[in-house]
Amino acid sequence: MVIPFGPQHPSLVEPIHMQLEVEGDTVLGVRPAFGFVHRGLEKLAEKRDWRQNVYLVERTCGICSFIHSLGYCLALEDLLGVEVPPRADLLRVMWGELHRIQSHYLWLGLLADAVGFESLFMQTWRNRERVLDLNELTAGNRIVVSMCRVGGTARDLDAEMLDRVEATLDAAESEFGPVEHTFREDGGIARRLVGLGRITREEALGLGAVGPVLRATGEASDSRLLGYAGYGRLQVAPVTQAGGDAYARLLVRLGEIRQSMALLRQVLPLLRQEPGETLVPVRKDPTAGEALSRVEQPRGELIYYVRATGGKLLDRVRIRTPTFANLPALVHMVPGNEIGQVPALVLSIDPCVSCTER
Amino acid sequence: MMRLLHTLLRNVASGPVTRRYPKVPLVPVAGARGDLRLLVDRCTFCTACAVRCPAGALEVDRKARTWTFNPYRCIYCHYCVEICPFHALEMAPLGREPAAAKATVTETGAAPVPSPSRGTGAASPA
Repeated sequence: MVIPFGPQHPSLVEPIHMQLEVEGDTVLGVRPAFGFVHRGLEKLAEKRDWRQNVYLVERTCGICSFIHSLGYCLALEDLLGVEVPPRADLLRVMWGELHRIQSHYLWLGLLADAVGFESLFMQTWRNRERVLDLNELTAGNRIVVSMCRVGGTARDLDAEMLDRVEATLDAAESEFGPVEHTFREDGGIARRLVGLGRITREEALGLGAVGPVLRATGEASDSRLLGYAGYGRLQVAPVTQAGGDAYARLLVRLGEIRQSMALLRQVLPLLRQEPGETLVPVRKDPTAGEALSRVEQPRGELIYYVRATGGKLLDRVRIRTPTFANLPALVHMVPGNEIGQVPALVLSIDPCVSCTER
Repeated sequence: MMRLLHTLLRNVASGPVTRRYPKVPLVPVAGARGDLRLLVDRCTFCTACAVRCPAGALEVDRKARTWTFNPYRCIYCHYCVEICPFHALEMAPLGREPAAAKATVTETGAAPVPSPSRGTGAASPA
């Protein structure tokens, strides 16, 4: 029997559609289908000039918007041969990591809700508010911060603002402790997730999985190791787990919140020590050519490919999102599980269908 | 158990985390991006903002010297404010109030002073 699952379903957080082939309660096969929230964003990017596209691609994803604009700007800067000021690179790391923290918090809250732990969901999203407040304080907006520009960042932060960021970070770090402890120690969460959707490192690599899904199988793969933006100056060690199951993915994301906070601790002193400009004006249009950038989104590796033929308009903007890369792994994980476990399995890859369908 | 008790007591003592809007008015942070305004005295109706707006929220008529803003298309990206060569645009720290109808905002500039060097003295198109 085939059961249609999604795109509208009470237990789904994203409009993903899957046709589940079931026998009794057990899923035997799965066929995913896409396109319910397609917006034609890549085509639109060919109609807007390359400066306007920064604001367009930023709206690909509502959760990690800054990292999308960063990926696009890195590709354009490569194409234009622009040298970004070091201070702008550090600010890009700061906003990128703030987005990663709030994205993982969002996922943790959804996970707590999915396993029926509603008070933990509220505590997690309460902590997320503090990070969103930091976005608002530093950029003027909570989610889509519009701070990345081709050639740097739109704003600089003065010493007083950096102090406020540090104070908020102190509070956020101490508030994360009890939440992290509950996620790690609660028996109910572990019973739901341990062994769920287990894949091996070889399978994950073979299926092209990225981000926490891949790192949860023990593979130390993280695009930040490429050293883009200011990451080359910071100590980045990928957070890995050996389990390969949904619980290991949870532990990776918990570890990455700590890691992002530690990266912010590395960035703030550097921002204090090194004043300077944050934006290099770019006046020329790109000449014919192509460029590619790889950045680490909270869900995994995000790729931007840009092709120009000269002039204001770009010939092609291609976005490769991590959720799309993780879907083959999801399709591999689902068979053999009961129908009731499918929502938790879908959630375990942290799907972002808005990114995937653009 | 003690941890749970601690969390419970903290929650009782700390109150809600979310803003109690509209009961408590929102105090915007410095630099928040809200409603777009035109300082019409500075504007030369050069159309730089309208050409660059990624959302198509601005229309400028150079001849009629009008600037029309559709706040319901604005994405609050701040791009127009940054590129205006005459610093004629600014963003208020708060967003627009809720409204029943989607109205646009139009600003009309004063008629330009005829340049003496050209000596035409032609009537302004306003």
